[in-house]
Amino acid sequence: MTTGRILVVDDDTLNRAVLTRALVELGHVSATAENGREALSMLRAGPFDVVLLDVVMPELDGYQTLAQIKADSALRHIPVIMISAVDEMDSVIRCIEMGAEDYLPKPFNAGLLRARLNASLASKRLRDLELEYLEQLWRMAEAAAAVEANVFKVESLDQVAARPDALGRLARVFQKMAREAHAREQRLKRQLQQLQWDMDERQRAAKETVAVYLPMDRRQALAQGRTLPDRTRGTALFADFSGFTPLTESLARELGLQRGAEELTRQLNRVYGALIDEVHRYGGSVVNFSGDAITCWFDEKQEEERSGKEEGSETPFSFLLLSSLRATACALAMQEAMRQFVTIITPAGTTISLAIKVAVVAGPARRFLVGDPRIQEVEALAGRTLDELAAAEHLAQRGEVVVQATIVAELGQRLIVSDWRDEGRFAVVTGLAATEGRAAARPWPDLPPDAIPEAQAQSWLSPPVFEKVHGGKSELLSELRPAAALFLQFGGLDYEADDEAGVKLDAFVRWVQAVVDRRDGSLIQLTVGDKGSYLYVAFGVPVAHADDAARAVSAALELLPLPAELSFITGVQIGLAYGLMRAGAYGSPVQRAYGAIGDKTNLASRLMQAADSGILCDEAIHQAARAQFEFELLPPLTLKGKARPIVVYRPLRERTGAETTPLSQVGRAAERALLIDHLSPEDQLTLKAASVIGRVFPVDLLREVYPDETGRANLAEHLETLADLDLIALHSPAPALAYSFKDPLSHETAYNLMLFAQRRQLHRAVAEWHERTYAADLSPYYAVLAHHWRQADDVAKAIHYLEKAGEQAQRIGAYEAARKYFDESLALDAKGSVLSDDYYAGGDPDRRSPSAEE
Amino acid sequence: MPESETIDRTALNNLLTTVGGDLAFLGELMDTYFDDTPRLLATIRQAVESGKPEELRRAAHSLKSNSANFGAMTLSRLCKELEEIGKSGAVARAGERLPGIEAEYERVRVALEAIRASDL
Repeated sequence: MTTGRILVVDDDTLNRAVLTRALVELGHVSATAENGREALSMLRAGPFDVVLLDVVMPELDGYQTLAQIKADSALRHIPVIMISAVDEMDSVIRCIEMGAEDYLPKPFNAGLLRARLNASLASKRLRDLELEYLEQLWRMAEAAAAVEANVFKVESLDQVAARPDALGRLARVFQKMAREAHAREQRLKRQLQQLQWDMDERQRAAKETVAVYLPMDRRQALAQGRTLPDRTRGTALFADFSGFTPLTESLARELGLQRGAEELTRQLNRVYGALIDEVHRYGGSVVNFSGDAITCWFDEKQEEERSGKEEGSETPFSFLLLSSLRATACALAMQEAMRQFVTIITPAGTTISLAIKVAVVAGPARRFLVGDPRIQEVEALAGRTLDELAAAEHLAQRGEVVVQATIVAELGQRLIVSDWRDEGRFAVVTGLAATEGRAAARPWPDLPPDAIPEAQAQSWLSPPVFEKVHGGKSELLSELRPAAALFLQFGGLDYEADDEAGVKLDAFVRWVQAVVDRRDGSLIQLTVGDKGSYLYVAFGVPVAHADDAARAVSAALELLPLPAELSFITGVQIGLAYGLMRAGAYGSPVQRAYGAIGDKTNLASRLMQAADSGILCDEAIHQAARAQFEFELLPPLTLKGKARPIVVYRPLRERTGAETTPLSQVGRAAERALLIDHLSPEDQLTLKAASVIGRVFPVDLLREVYPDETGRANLAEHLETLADLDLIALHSPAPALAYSFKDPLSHETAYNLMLFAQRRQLHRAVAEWHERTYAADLSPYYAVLAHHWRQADDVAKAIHYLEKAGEQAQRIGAYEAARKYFDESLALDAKGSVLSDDYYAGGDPDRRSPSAEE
Repeated sequence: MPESETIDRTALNNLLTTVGGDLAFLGELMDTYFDDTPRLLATIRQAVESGKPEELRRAAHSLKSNSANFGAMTLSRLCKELEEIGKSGAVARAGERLPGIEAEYERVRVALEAIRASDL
């Protein structure tokens, strides 16, 4: 029996006393009122479950009181039991017609009182539940309106969702759908963003010329038939990024290595684009890309030439000082441009702040173009101005522009200085005094696209890079794959006094290039600085081999010691590391460089610094090359930026009589990759597009999804070439012409050589082709469609087809298969948009399966 | 004993059950009844003398229901007749009945006191 709060309304003392006592006996809580008026005010003041109401009362009698209770929306749901004498049935009937719940005859009977009260309390509780139900139903309706108005908060339905009944289930489903809708929206936004970027990339690739790989001053000089002098004067600007490391880590964690690397490229290129635009706007040139920094040059000669053409060329400034003013203004503009990257929100919602520090130093410099033109010519800036620049960069903090004190002294009031560094050696400049016309931007004159013949610019790119850029296929340079990084530090050149410094540097670089070229490696970067100069060489990009780690070790052993004719070079030490790298062209549409970056590039450079006139390498190099080389295990080494000491080795010598060990699975894949690498871009694209369709690929479908017009026209030719190379074989003749991959490894390798964005695009095309072609009856293709939509990153469509496939399997009694489809669908559903794909599971390419058939 | 006609013991037991069998409380209820009833009888007499049917009806109604509670069925029936007269408005006809009602109440009181004294 439950306790109720009962209001007894009776004018008669005796009756009230009897009822109150009776209610106590029944375990209820009661209150009394002597007339209707009092009863109404008590009812409005507090919650009551039942009213016991006498009919005959002075003031407001039972009828009137009942009428008022039933007229009050806040009270009308409280059950009223009329108290009446047994001889007053007429009045009882009237009261029940007016809405009374029941009646209780006088004299009172305990059993009857209990029975009627319990019935009324039960009906009250039911009504309360109904009211609560209605109230929560109303909340559902409000939630629906909120969803439409895009202001829905999932938590607003938590209470309703806790109900164990159908309404609760409705609320839970509603919450789930709202979450999914939100996730879909986010996914869509990201897809749009991605699409925008893909389009931008394509546009930029379309107008890309080989010349964008040259510094702007070099381009201008070539266009005018000039050369750049060995010794020059001007202002150097160094911009160094911070925040890329946390961004790289966040993206890799959130999206997996592959997509993380692509997203990183996108972010990098946005930032580079904004900064390079500023450099060019102020008439500077980006001479070097190094890791996550750029070195720029503002030459005084250029100020001289340009001022002669301008009115009022009379100036108290030296041209050197003018170049410094221009560079400082550019540095401030670069910081301004960085504001848009202060807050970058990653797909999973991590906030990362990107910033640059900029250093500006003026003085004399050496400008070299070194290296074997048959392999690659490399730009270098050197001299004490550059050493001073490195010192200034070390003293700068995020968001700052640090300028050499001598520049500040000469420019005087024109610069706003907030702080000094290193006892007045450098100043932190925060702005320019207003109306400083000489500091205005002054863009380079436009160069027509054909100003520099490709043949002339070709030597600035390594042959494999040139081939792809030349073919308009520079996006094919973008790859993610294992490679070995070799960092070589060297010194011994006096860039100030030695007129032969350029010649010597050239001789050394050519020798390194020769050693590296014999092993099919690539010189990626040359940096000349005060802490010793260094070279960065990669094996595995842009051309891959089965034994890139061993090639790197072999090259390192040949590079040290140096031959006698290079004895002027001193302090050579080398670091080697092997791991996944993101290679490709980075920069902006107007200025690019080919680079290869990964965790291991950083590690290799740290190992180089720690190598102490020798060679150090990481565990991955040791693992991959130990069959061919002997190594010495050294004590673990603690490196800057690494939390724990790492295992390091020193390669000693090539094993005598080392037999070529059978290639591992990875090795065979690498060999296959090598074969595919040497295909023409069109043949490669054919193979890659085919790999998305499946092991067997109908030519009609391949033609349909082929992403390139010219390649499509010659599809038959490409297929013949691939068949000649034994990569593919005829599967069925025309009219249902189809080929198949000769072996799963070729299939997989071709697939894995594609970047995620390209794969996704092709999978989408394949899925759409199926939907179009078999629109009349898609049922035989549910599984295929689910696979392609999933790989196209369209989770909603993938789920749709997985469920269809599941239902289909269920109908024919293939319960195991049905369960597999449903499980997969559920898993996709649960993961939502973020990390929804096993693409993102990690960087291990062997874990990705290219086709649904396997 | 005249008690058997004056008080319906079943009804009185019902009241005792209703209040949880609490004899002391029943005694208190009786005291209330003994306090109220002379007042109600006075009101009735006054209403009859001054010709106020509504007052007559209400007082008679209360006395009727209170008396029924204690099993004073004869008194309750007499009061019901008075109540009917009150409803009809012919108050004068009630005058002659008052002595009978007062006498019956006296019997009820004596009977209830006796019952209380004997612990039922």
